Amino acid sequence: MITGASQADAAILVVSAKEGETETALSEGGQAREHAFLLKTLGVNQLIVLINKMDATQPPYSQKRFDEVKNMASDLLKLVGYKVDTLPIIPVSGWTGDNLSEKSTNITWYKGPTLLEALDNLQVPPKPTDKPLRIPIQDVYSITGVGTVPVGRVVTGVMKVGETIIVMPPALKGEVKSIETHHTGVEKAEPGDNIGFNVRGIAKQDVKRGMVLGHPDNPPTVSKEFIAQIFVVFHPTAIAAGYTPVLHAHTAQIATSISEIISKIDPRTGQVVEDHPKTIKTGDAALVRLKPPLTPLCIETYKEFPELGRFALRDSGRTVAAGIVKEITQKA
Amino acid sequence: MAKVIARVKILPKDIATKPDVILNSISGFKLIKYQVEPIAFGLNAIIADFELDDAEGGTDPLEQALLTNKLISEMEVIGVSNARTKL
Repeated sequence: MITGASQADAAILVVSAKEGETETALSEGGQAREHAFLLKTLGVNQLIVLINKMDATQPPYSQKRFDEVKNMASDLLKLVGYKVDTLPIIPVSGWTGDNLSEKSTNITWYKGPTLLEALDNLQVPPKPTDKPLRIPIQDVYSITGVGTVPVGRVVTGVMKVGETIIVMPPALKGEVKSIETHHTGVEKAEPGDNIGFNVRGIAKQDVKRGMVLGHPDNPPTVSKEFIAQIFVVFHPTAIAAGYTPVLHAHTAQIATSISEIISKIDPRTGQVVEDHPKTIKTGDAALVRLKPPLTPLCIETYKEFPELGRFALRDSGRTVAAGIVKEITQKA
Repeated sequence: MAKVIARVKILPKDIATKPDVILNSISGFKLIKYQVEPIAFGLNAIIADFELDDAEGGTDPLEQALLTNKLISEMEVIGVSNARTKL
């Protein structure tokens, strides 16, 4: 869930209506509660709430139980900072299919949208074509008869054939000779396009996954240190300054160090709850200073480039935290 | 134990290597289905669904197996879902 959430425009929060399960999921340390805080930390503001397992309430499809669970979920989401009145809260049963794609004949008291209708009502974010060009590199090939071919998905901006581009961090410039998508030549590539492009002036060995391509007049930011707002999803004990997880952002994976825990915060308001705590633990939101110790990292502030300003911190196969970049404090 | 499906995007080391050769070289994981995503200049990505145990460590064992495969250049997990859910 976590890596997906770091790129999501919208989310579905599923809460069980079954007696006992609701209370566990929404209580301190409960999964629905953590997911709600995590989504808010990552700036995912479009949310659909499903009250699931309506077939298993006592009696089945109980409006009374739905109202109870809806109120509990609403209280939590208000606490997290969501405008509850604008969110669809839908009674469903994943088991029997009630209110998923068709209106339930078992839940006649509910007059709102089905899940499918709620999905159709989500707002598609505008294509960020007017922003500076950013293409995180997925891989690079040297293709006989073509030359160096970096591969990636355009995240923001537009790249055209004939343009000069720059690859960061090495700051290498090259000229785009041709662009292909689905094995078809195109004159320009826009956000969302999965492309390979032939670039003159850059050798295969100079470009690696995790680097980001842009235009020389507004190159991707390379950071040696930045401040981020994180939400701790899981840590068996506690995180202290000096902790070194692996940071996953766009196509980059890089060892990083939490050099300072600046403050523990309320994710809803950003208000400081505790200044310079010694440790943070599962369920905490915090402002931290991150320092990739070995290699500088291409990363942007969430405010300027939401698409490139989110990340996950992983350790020993588990996602420890997810967050957004608030401020680049040291550029490379 | 519950099962999950991990959908991964695989980029080959050599663009001439056929997708089924790459997929046959991956052992220890149950391949459910795959499709070829054409990219550029003869390069194709493989979008493959593997069935995994819903265990601690998540997709890490699969990721490690793919990243150490000599026929694979890069991979990324693009989705994980309950095995009963259609991705």
